[in-house]
Amino acid sequence: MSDEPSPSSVTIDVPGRPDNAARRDRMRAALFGEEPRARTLGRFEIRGELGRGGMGVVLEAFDPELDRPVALKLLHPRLDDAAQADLLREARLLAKVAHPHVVHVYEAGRIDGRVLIAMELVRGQTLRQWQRAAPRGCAEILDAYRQAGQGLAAAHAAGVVHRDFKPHNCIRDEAGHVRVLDFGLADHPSAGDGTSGGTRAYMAPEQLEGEACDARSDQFSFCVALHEALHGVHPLAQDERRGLGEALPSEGTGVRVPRWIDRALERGLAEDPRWRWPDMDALLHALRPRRRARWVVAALALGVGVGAAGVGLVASGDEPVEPCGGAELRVSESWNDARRDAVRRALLDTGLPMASETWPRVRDELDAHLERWAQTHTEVCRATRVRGEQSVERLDLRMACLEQRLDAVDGLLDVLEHADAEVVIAAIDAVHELPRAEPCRRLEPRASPEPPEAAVLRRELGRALAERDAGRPERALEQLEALRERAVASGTRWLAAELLVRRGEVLEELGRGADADRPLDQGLWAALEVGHDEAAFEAAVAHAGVVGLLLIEEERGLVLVDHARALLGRIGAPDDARQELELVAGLVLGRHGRYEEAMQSLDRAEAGVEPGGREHLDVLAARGNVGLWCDRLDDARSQLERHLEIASGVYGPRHPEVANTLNDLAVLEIQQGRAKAAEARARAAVEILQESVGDHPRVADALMNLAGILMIREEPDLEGALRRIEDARRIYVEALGEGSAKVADADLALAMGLESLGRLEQAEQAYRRNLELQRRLKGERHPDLRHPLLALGTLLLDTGRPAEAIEPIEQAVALARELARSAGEGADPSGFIRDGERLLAQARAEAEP
Amino acid sequence: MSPSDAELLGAWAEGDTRAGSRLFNRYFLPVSRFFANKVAEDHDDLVQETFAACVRGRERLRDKSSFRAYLFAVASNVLRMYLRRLCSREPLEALDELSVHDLAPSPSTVLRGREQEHALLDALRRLPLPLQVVMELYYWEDMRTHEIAEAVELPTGTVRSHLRRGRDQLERSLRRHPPADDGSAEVVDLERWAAALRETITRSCA
Repeated sequence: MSDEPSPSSVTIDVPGRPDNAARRDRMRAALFGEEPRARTLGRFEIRGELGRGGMGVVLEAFDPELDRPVALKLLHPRLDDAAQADLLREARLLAKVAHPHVVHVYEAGRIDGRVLIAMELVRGQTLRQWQRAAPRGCAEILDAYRQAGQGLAAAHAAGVVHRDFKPHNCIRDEAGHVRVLDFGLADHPSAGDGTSGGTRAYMAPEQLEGEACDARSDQFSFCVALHEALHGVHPLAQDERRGLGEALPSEGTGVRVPRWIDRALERGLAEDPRWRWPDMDALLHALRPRRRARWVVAALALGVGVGAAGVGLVASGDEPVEPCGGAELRVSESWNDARRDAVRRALLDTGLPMASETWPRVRDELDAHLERWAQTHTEVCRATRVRGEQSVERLDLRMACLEQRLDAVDGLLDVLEHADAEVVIAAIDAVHELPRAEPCRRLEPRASPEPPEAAVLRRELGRALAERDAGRPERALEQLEALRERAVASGTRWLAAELLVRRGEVLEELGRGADADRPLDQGLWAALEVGHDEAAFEAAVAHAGVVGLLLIEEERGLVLVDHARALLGRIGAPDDARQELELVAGLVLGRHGRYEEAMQSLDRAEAGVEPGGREHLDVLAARGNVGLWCDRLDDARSQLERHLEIASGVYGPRHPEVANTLNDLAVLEIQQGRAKAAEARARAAVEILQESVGDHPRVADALMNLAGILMIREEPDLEGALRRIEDARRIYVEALGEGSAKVADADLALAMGLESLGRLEQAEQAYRRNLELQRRLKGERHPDLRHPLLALGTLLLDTGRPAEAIEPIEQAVALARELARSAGEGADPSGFIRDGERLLAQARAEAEP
Repeated sequence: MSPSDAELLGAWAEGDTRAGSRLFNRYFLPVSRFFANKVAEDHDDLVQETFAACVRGRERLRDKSSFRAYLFAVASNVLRMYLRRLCSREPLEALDELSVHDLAPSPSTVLRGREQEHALLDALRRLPLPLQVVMELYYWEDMRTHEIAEAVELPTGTVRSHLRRGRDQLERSLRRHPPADDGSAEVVDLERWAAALRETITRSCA
């Protein structure tokens, strides 16, 4: 290729060479005592010229205002207006990119009608000069280009395409730091002086054809440059469009280039942009340095010597090498003393009272998780390498799966090392939710393998889920959406379906039932369409929970439970999935008053669960809730007290999980008429939750409970109660929407408060409004209707309208009886039916003429 | 009518810096070219020193037939003094045998040229110093042999033989390392190359 210099590539190699005119001025000053003439351009003092090219001239200058040296690019006045406007626009976009691998554009504008771009002055060699100055090794070349690639990626993220990437446009300073320059300054067609000859060598085919170019064109140029740097030859030397002819020097560099690098480059060099990597990030990930061979790591680890020399891992002498002995060492790359210490400090530094209780639990749980990983790793490895019963293809697949699991651990550790309060709260669950290694053992090759970028996207999915698990669901949502767009764009439909489901799950955790409904529905069908049964199962389970528990729709919720049950069989009914399904099924059934069926589901969920362990908590909490919903209060109490005990151990006593249990227990105490105990529990729950989760519906639930208790205690605090209900209502509306069931609950409580304050007319209206909303949400015969019905009836009775009171009280009692029947014989521990019948009798008596 | 070089030098010596500045403008380029391909660093200092030395030694101008001859005689001395400081271990006479490449192998930081011109510049730097000076004055400054003889303070016959030897050595080394875009390695058109080089050097110095 031609050596035709581009504006800035000629010059930057000569350290500190000032412009000749300035040199002459200095000599004159020395000889004749003349002051050197100050040459300025706008506020910039010109120190010299760095280079010239088709686009204009590059000057070395000084910015006295900001007291820093700058490189000034002064564009040629013969560029047409449109070209100048384009370049200005791009320079201004680029000015927003502050990235260590992009030459920083400080500002861009016009001076004396000429476009001027002020940028960071970097001294060093261009990569082209650096490559030619001495033979370079594969690792150094890869490192230099990865830096440049990161710069390109950052610019792409800001919407800037380079259009003329080549080694001449990358500056490497003495510290080995590489920056890309001259973004968007590719010889513009209107420069028209033929200097673009040297550039054609690196251009993407679409650019050569004069078609629109985008970030993928830069990717192509990047791959040409890196290929040339590694192999010493242009990868497309025969392409006549490039005009490289026969004169091309073709002596290789003698660098041994690993196959995986060439494979990654081949894809970036695809003629059709659609067949290249989806973006620079994907390419860079494919080009990331591989881990050292396991035995080298092993030898190094033994080198520090803790008397381990006899372990038999050293690849030396006649000792047989244990081919599957690397698991612990691999684990220690991620989870070691340094990392342990960093996580511990990060957790404690949040200053949360619970942090000191959280850390040892996180540590132990991680230790256990990684021990299981190492066992699985060894087992998978031995199945092929020792026992020979597993194909190499399956070994690769399963090892890749295990690597992903470890990536997830890495991702979580990253989050934990930068823990804030939210992360501390979610830390224990996050470790617990880490994807388990065991399923990798059963993994089978798919009929149609995923495209290569799926691996990259999956890795990023792991990071997004780590954010979610660490209690930063909003951030996770953003990342999931971005990932899904990429998955859709690259035709990775399998993963796109999964991402929909994940999105629904996160929305569910945020309590945003209405928003979760659609992605889960779409996710289920998308997963079924591509045959992704695991994702379909997850979608059905999550969707059943959203519909049955957040949106409180019985029929649809149970249909979804049935879907999930059908899918459970298709994925081989593993224990954890079965348990997950039965738990949700039990809750949905219980939420709709079907106590016996709910308990059957929960019994199935409990089978095989370790008593006192983390899974046991889920079952106990579910039993407690179902007991509450179905008026089996004594059962509920014993389940919840057991839950509180175990949760205090598993999470530590000041954890939001503990608050949730306190919250549930408070509800129970109210229903059993123990106001004082209820108030103490409710206040403790509110306090812990407000400390930890902010405006989450869970805080609103606790506020509602506390408000109810404040209303019915011996000396009611009605104002305090109403204030809390209003707070709760606001949180519900924000999270769930105006027409949601939770808002209806808040309205009902508001009505009761108004009644207690003697604002009866307002209270009556509020009851009727609430009844109407609840009927619409849950149907005519929902047991939840009994509360507003009885309250309305009582109010009507108290205000001297017994005849009107009869119907609502009758309905309330009928609903309570239905509930009692489904919950078992004679269940009326809260005395709802008894009270209702008494009021009904009174109303009938008073209504007699 | 514009003042002669000698008049300007005299006025400058009397304290007229404007006159000095005019003289400097007239001869900056040739002096800059003179040092361009001979020193790796300190180029500007040597240019400056040459002009300063011209004023100091202006009595000797009378011995020369032209200001140019005087100027390059001063420049040659400045260069020899510089190289002697640089290589104090070598005996003074060695400067007649050694090339600047032997003395300071890195190329000048002032020069920037096309890659194919590097070969010739390099070949020039590999000539013994007196040969390089003579060659450059002949090809780049268009000086006649007798004028060069005054500048380098050698007999005219010696300058002629220096030119011959210089041409032979250049042609030999260019045949060994032909400039990239010269198809015929057999016949090296030294005149053409020298002219091209002069342009490059001038662009670098201007």
